[in-house]
Parts: sequence; C-alpha cells; structure tokens
Amino acid sequence: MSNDAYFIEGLRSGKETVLQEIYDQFFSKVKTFVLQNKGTITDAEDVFHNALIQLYIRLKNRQLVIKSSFEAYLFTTCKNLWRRELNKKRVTKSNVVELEDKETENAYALLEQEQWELYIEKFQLLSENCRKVLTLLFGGTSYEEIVETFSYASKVVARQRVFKCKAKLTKLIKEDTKFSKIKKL
Amino acid sequence: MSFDDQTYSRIASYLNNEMNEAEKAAFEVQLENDAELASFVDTFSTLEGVYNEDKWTVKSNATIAEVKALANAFRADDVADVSKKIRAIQQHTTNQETTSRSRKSYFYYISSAVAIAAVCTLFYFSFMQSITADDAFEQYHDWASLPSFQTKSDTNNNLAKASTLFQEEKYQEALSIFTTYAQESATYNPQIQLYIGVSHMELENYQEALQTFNQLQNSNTVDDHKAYWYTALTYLKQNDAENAKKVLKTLVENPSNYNYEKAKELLKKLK
Repeated sequence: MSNDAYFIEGLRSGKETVLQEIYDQFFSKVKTFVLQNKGTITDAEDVFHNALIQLYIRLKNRQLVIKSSFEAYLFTTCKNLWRRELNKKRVTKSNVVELEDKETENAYALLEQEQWELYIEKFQLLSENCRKVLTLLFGGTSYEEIVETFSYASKVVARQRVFKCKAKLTKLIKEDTKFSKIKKL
Repeated sequence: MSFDDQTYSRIASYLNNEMNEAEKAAFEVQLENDAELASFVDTFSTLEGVYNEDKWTVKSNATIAEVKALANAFRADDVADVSKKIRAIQQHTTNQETTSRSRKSYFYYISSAVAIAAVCTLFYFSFMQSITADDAFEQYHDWASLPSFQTKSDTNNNLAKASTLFQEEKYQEALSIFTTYAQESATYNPQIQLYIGVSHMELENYQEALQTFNQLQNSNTVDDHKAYWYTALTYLKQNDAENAKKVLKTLVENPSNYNYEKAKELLKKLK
C-alpha cells in the first residue's frame, strides 16, 4: 500500500494511530499557513480538525477519489476552509448573516469545496493559451500588461480573448453533470 | 448549450457594463425569460471569485434540502467518534508542547541573564577605558555605512564599478572613477564626495581628504553634516586627537547631526 492509500484508508476507517500520523506529518504546514494569514494556533487546530472530518465524510458518503497526493488534498482543503473563515469575518461586518449551527456550516464548507474542485478541474481542460491569459488576469495583471505579454493588437483584442476563454470555461463547468445536478436539485 | 455570436457579444457588453440603459433593460428581460442564458451569465460571473485568490468567494449551488441532509451526515455517530479522536490528539500534542516550552523558557531566562551580564561587563570596560586616536579610528570607521549606488544606466554602472573597487580597497582606482564622474557631472553629489574624501583618507592624502570634507560641509546639501564625522575620522587616522575632538565637539552641538550618539561616546573615551 502506498503512503497515500495508507492515509486515505486510515482516515476512512477512523483509525487512531493513522490519525496521529496524519497530524504529526501534516499539521505544521497548515499551522504555518494559518498563522501567516491572521490566524491563531486554535484556528489552525479547528481548520485541521474540520478538514479531516470533511474528507472523512467525502470518502465515506460522496465517492471522493483522491487523485493527487493525500497531503496536497488535505492542505488545499485546509487552505479553503481558512479562506472561508476569513471571508465570513469580513462579511459579518457589513451583511446580516444567518447564524448556522456547526454541522450546517460544515455542510456548506464541504459543498463549496466540491464546487471549487470542479472549477479547478475544468480550468485544466482549457487550451494552454486560455489558461495562461486567465491565470494572469485572475492574478491581478492589468489588460495593458496582458496586451504586452501576448503581443495582442490592442486592449479590445485582449478583452475579446479573455471573454472567449471565460465563456469556454463557463461552458465546461455548466456541462459537467455534477454541476448541473447540484444546480437543478 | 451554445449561443450565437451576437448573443455572446451582448453578454460581454452586459458584463463589462458597456450597455446603455435601454440595452441593459432589454437584456435583463431576456435574462428573465431565458433560464439557460441566465444560468450562463450567472456562472460566468462566479469565475472571478473562484480563481482570483484575493476575491475568493465560492458559493455552492446546492439547495437547502441538500445542505440539511449533509448537515445530518455531520451529526452521525461515527463522525463524532472521529472528531473526538482528532481532538484528543490535538489536546495531547498541545499539552506536550506547553511542557517543553516552559522547560525551554526556564533555560532561556538563565541564558539570557548570563548574556546580559556579559554584555554589561563588556560595555562597562569598553566605556570606561579611554582610547588613543589610532584605536578610535580602527573602532569607529565603518565604510560599509557609505551610500551604495544602484546599477541602472551606464553612468551609474561606472559608479557601481567604482564602489566595488572601493570595497576591494583599491582606493586609487576607485578614486579616479569617482573624481572623473564628479568633474563631468553638472551637479554636486555629496555621496560621491564622501567616497572621494574617504578614498583620499585611505590613501593618506590627508590634505585632499580634509579639503573634500570641508567643501561638503559648506555644500548646503542634505548630507553636509556628515562632513564633521568624516573630518574627525581623518584627524584620528593621523593620530591627531586634539583636532578630532574639536570637530566632534562641533558635531555634538546639534543632535540631528550624523553619528551624534557615536560622537558623544567617542568624545568621552578619547584621551
């Protein structure tokens, strides 16, 4: 059994020794990330706990197949959970947010994680050129710089290109059965 | 699902906010009647939030019913069991860390106390001991604090080259580049003058050094006050404590002068 399979099976069966190993091997990276992003150790512990629970449910009930390494999977889950927390803190200041119980919150977080993965997966199906253009755009690069990087004739041409790529991406996302299934429920 | 080119171009102008009021209203009516189009526009506008790390907002399409069902899954006994195990591991590790941390801090306090005592003793002795002008020069000259030049244009490259030569203690070569630069340049550059003065000092051309710093002192530039410090160093290097003290006394008349604290300290120590 590979290391990844070992961790995945151990988590799926809730084996204490494996959970301990997971914690020993992977917590420090999560801790560093949370601490560097306005969080405390307790936040990091909560994020790590919630991520493992989320993965546990997805493995048991939602046919999750981990394609990349277990570590990468666990880390992105933690990262997204923490970004979600930070957003909540930001939103609660201006909007009225319904208070949810812990389990409902966890359910939302899980669904959002699945949604996020779907988007990431579809992004990889774009042409190389589209991926490059959109990566720059979403990374905050201005249209002026994009025109320069790709030697487009003008900003109008760059905008058209961006629109085409985004439209293609939207189509890919919407065509996925997972997306439409959730949408039509 | 696909739209014709015209629809795509309308979607684009709608999303880019390029429509006038009438066009916008018409398009919004169309959105209300065409679920496919609406869902496309809706999904399209979520892209930014998912892929842009700074704006990161992911929303699920799930219905309330699905969220509720899933929340129930989180309430299951086996989940509670796994949760408890993880919390126990975390609790255990945190406790261990706190113990080792407190042990560490005990050691830390002792070692810092020792270190502080050592520094104090050292400081006391070095402070009380008076030094000769020669020693003072050795202790207080620090050419690393001279300004550095960025390498952008060709002329600045020359400066960078000169400061490298300077760092390699090739003062004669550095001096000739700096002097040429200063002569060719239309404006008086105090930073380059500092290098010229110090190079002269190192080459033991003390008259030229003093002259350079004197000019700097009268140059009415932001760096003119630095001239006091370097003039003092020039005297110290010649083992002339008397003149060095005179200059340092002038320096400490104004706390905003360059190396004011060092100058005060040095005045106390000099024989």
